[in-house]
Amino acid sequence: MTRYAFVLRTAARQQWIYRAELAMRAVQMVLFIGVFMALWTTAFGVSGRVEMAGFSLVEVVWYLAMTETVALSSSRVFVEIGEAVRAGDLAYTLARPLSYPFYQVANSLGNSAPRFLLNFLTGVAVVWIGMGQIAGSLPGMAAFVGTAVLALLLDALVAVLIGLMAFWIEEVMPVFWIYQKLLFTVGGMFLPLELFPDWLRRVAEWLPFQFITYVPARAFVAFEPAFVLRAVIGQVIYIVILTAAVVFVWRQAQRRLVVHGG
Amino acid sequence: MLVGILYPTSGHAHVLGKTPWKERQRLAYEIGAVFGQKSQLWYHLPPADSFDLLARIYELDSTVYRQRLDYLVELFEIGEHLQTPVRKLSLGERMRCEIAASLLHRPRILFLDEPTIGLDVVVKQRIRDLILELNQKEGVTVFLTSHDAGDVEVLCKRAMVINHGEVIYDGRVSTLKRDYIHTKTISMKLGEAWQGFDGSGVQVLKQKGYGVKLKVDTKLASIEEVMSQLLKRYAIVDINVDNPPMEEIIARIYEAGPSEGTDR
Repeated sequence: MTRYAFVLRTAARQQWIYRAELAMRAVQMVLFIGVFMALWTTAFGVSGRVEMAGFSLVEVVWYLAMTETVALSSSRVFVEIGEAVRAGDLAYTLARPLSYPFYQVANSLGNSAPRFLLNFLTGVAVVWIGMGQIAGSLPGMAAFVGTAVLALLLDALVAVLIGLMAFWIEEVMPVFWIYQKLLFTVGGMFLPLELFPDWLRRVAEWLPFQFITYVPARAFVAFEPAFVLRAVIGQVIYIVILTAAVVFVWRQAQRRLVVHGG
Repeated sequence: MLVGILYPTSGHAHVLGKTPWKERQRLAYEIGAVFGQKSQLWYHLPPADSFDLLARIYELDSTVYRQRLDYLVELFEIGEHLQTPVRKLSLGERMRCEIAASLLHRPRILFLDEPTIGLDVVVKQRIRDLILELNQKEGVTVFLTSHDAGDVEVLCKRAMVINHGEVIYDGRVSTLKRDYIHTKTISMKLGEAWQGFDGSGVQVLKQKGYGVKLKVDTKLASIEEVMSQLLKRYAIVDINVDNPPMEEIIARIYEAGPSEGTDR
């Protein structure tokens, strides 16, 4: 386990080298949140309501800032895996006493960590200045960080699964786009699940995507111990399921491995 | 496949008593690998970070690791490159770091896959010397795959030639050399017109303007002899001596028949 932790640390250090890229991410956060603030201020203004499905304007904006914080910290490690599979660059990692897919999970989390920190600080600063108010509480903040870490682990597992698909399909990017769109919609990234029609909300609640974006943000703006507990159990169940899926897919994939240029 | 990366379609193999594709992770502690066309070092970080990570992965004790690292740094003369990001290193510098990285955990077998690919002659020689030194000092078994007959000539005692998955030669390198790698090509650019060469074992392959390509049969004439004669007779602008390409060696083995020249 400690060796995977050290992989994570090394990946985070490398990520830290791309400071210009990290800065661009912060700019992206500012832009997105700026647009959301304008959009929802207008939406609330036009409808004349102070609350939508239990969310005030301030809460909706904080909610979106938090879903973006998690979503923009996603590592996209499947790009690296896809390239490695095509070029046979897995050779080195495979020659080590490590599991390749879990090495990549650690790599993914290492990439996400500095981004997450930066996105979070930027998000908080922008919304605080923009809205002049804080939604959420200290326990909400703690619940957010805890569930966000599990969310990023889920995201890393999904990214590794997408990456491993490169063994069967040439280009994995379209699979990622589908995943991303599912996060946008049933993941609650642009809209809290509470604003969904009942039937869709029920479907979304059973899917893994809401555990990545909706859960941490919701825990932040409206902290309820019961909700957090249920959410964490759901996250852990999906972590177990996805881990099993990664192990299974990797077993199949190994037999298809071809190392080019070797 | 012997490192345990690839699954065979059929057949079996043992490396240090283990079946590589079944016991890959356990075997990994005892073997090291260098792939000339790939990199194990983190591209944007200095090699020192990659070394630290490898020490953790192989669960090396920190004092043991320090000693080992110091030793390898000195041997490979990479001290000044340790803190430079890998992307800023030259290929030769990087390759020395790559090999050092593969030796941190004291492997008993070192697999080298084209370790000198793309390197210039001087650096190539340097890498070969290091590998040889390592083999003699530490008793590491070196398993080398290369298209460069020069690598094999300098480094190995026993060689196997595999063409399209078939072993077409398995025997001593000295025999291989004597029977199949007995020619060298000399490519020259002269400062004057070519007037021929007196002596046996030398054949003109190509001649165009001041450029000449010669084939020297080392059974009949020593390469030093031919070179010194050439230097005496001609003003030479540029000269290169090459080993025959692997394809040619393979063709010659086929010509000689499958079993001949194989002594074991």
